[in-house]
Amino acid sequence: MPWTTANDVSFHYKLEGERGPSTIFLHEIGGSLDSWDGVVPGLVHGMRSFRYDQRGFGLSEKVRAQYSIETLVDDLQHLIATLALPPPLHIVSLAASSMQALEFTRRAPEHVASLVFCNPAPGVAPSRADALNNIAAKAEQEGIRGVLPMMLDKSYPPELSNRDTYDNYRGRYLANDPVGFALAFRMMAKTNMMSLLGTITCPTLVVAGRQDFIRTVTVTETIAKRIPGARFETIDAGHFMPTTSPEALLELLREFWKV
Amino acid sequence: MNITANGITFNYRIDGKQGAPWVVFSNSLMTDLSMWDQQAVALSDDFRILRYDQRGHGGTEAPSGRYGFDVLVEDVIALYDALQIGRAHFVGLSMGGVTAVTLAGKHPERVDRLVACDCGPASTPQSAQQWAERIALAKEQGMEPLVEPTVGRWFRAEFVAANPSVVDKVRQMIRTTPVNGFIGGALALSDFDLRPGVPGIKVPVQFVCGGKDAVLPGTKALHAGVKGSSFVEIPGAGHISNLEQPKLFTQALRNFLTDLI
Repeated sequence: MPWTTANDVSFHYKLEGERGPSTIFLHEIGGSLDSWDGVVPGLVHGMRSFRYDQRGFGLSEKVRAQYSIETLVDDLQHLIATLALPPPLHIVSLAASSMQALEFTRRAPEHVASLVFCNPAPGVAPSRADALNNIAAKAEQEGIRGVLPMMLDKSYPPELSNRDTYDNYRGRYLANDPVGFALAFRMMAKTNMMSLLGTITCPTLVVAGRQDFIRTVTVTETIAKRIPGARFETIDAGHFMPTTSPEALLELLREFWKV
Repeated sequence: MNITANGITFNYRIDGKQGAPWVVFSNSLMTDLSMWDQQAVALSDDFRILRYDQRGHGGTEAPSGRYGFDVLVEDVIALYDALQIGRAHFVGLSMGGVTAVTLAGKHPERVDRLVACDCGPASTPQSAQQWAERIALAKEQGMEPLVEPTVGRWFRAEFVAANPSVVDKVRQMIRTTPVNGFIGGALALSDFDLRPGVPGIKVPVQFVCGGKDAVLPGTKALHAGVKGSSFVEIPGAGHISNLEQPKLFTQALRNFLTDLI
């Protein structure tokens, strides 16, 4: 059964890999569990991978109520309990889902074996909040196509991957529920988890895409420096790293986890 | 401020917010770091800004001989090392734009985002001939006879008429450029070809060009060659697009350098 109910919301998920430590993949805003299609299959022999569509995205329930980062972490904790995923957990996040990984780690540090942050966006400066709220409003009014010029066109130049990969991502992107997209942007606009970076004690890998047009390598490196002992790497990848450069990311993950 | 790097003394200036991401500005032939005054003021709240006078320009030393773009890029790296800058956004116009693109190809690890303005992909026999004539003139009579023809090439007549104080500053920059510096830079521009390196550029790049700049097709050709690069045309501007349309230029720059989230 690819669906389960947790925290009173229906979630679409995939569990892959028979053996190995539990690994959780958190997708980006505008993505879905499919965002990890190029990565998870390469780990089935060493890790037990859990990925799911976050509330309002993919084939999970299209909620209408505004939620907070706490809600998203509640979702994750309920899912872990419902599916009886045994700790310790390895958590991989992309972009804004780093906020969720940080809050989860704050709540249950003893359950977190390692963290991987891909192009993390752990906090939004108050000066950027208006811009994100405007994107949310535009998505609601005009649909996802209305925000393509300010979002996907900036974050994913088609040349960053082969055409099929780009077209597939764009198709999925346009299929997002505009309300779900807006709820996520409004959540992001008022969330800042930067202060948690210094509290991390588990092994951590921070990966910056050298072709990330919406988060610079320098900004990502600055984030890495705030995490005690974190390892920082750059790869040839765009903002949507597991989509544009799954092989390079997979290689890093395998080496980091030694699988 | 002065600092020694790559064997010569550079004049540079640092502005902006301590600890913020670095933006480095590189000037065009016959100008100096003050060409970026308006951009430096506008970005100083959000960035740490390094401006320097390119080799042979402004207050930087002007050795004799040709300044190849390899040397101008070595200058940048030596300045970064001397000032402890690991990685920075880099913005260059014309000669500075060619410097920028060369830097991105040779040292991507030192580049965050790159903005190359009003520059073309390669010299041509015609452009080399024109530079040879101007070099001959400068050798014989100094910079003065180059002032008005250069202003005429760079700016639209309407802009010159409407902005005498801006153009007078430019005239002064041209006039005071050391002849050695002009010749060194002009020789570099007489013989360069970015095309072999362009397909390998993998840092985020934005190309910018004035809509009335004669080099516009060349800048567009560079944009077409760099995968994933963006292109902004500054409407109504000539060659020194940042001076002619400072607000539009700065907005495009800020949009490109600022993290979306």
